[in-house]
Amino acid sequence: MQQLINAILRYRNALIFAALLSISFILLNNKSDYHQTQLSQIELWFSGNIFQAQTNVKDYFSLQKDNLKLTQENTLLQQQLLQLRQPQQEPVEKLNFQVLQARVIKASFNQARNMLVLNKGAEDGVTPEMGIMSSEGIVGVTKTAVTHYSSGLSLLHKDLRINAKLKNTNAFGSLFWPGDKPNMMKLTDIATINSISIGDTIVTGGMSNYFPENIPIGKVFNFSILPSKRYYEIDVQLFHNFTTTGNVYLIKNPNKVEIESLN
Amino acid sequence: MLQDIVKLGFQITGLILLQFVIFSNINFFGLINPYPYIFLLLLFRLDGSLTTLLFIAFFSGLFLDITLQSHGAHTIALLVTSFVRSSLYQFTIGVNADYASKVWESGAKMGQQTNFLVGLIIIHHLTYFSVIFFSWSALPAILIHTLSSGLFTFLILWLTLMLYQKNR
Repeated sequence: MQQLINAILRYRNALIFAALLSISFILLNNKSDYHQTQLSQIELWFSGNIFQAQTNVKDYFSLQKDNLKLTQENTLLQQQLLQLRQPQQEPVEKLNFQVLQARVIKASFNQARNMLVLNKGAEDGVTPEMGIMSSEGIVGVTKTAVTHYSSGLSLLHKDLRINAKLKNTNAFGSLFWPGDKPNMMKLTDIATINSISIGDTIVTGGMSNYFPENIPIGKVFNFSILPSKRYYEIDVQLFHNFTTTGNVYLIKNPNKVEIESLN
Repeated sequence: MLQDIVKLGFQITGLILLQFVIFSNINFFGLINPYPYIFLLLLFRLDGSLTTLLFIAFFSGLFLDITLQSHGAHTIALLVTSFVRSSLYQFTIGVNADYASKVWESGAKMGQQTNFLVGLIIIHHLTYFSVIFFSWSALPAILIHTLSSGLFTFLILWLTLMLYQKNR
């Protein structure tokens, strides 16, 4: 207390100056309309900046909450998008894909058989053989699920084959990873009677049990005709970046068991 | 001591009245008015209490603002100039300058005294016109007014200073 009094006494002139100056500015503000307008503009600029800084800090701390909200919203939208991507003649009730949101917490991309670990498990409704996709394209297929976590085969897995097609011609083939670059896959079994050009979009075909039709995968990077002259061999540049982790969506096909029972 | 205070009171009142009655009505070229009332900052003892000076500046400025309808500009300008007077004195006369009662009794060279006077005028006028215009876009006008009125004020105050020097 004594120190505070000492400090006040030491800086009394500065404090008196500040007080008298403030009174002068109040006088200025009250007596002159012009100065009142100018001062209110300065006040607005000042308070605007302070509130902006305050909001920035607050926003930073609520990022996780906002992210969760956004991913939940995205999950719902993805579910609706999946319905819209299906051919119109299909009865809607049959295409009721379930979508769950998850986050890739570990992903390998430099091995022959790459795996993913997701932060959602059996308790969240994850079951084996659910399709995994991101907002850019398909990512893989779930393999096992424990209570809170699940693992999956990445699309960059040598043993995984996905039914895919050229978006503009609907010509379908088999997509697999040759084990080379993490952003390139091969699409085979597309008959040469179909026209193809570099940049064509590759989407999921309708014959996969894991994914609904028309989910983006990548685009044609290069193609060649096999020596038999009957099929193309297409290099597909993937849309999803497998070297990063992030939010993904798990797709459950409710008709999968029924379809598999026919095989 | 009491005689000095009464004398200072009369001098300051005289300066304020002169400003109010004569100098604020000159309107040279339609816009130039000198503000020689800041001479009160030279009349007040250099080794005097800053607190007292601040209050004198505040009430003198307030009186001028009320009478000249300047809404606080004189008060702010006079307060700012009073607050920096001591630092300006050390800056212009020298850090080792002895605090004399008045600047013309300090033994400082005429050039140093002139620098001190010019410093006071610039700070006062710049603050005054900044408050009057109160806008970044009016910066050229602020500078023109500071320069023109400042020159006028300087001429009056410098002659007064010379007069005090001669009478010393």
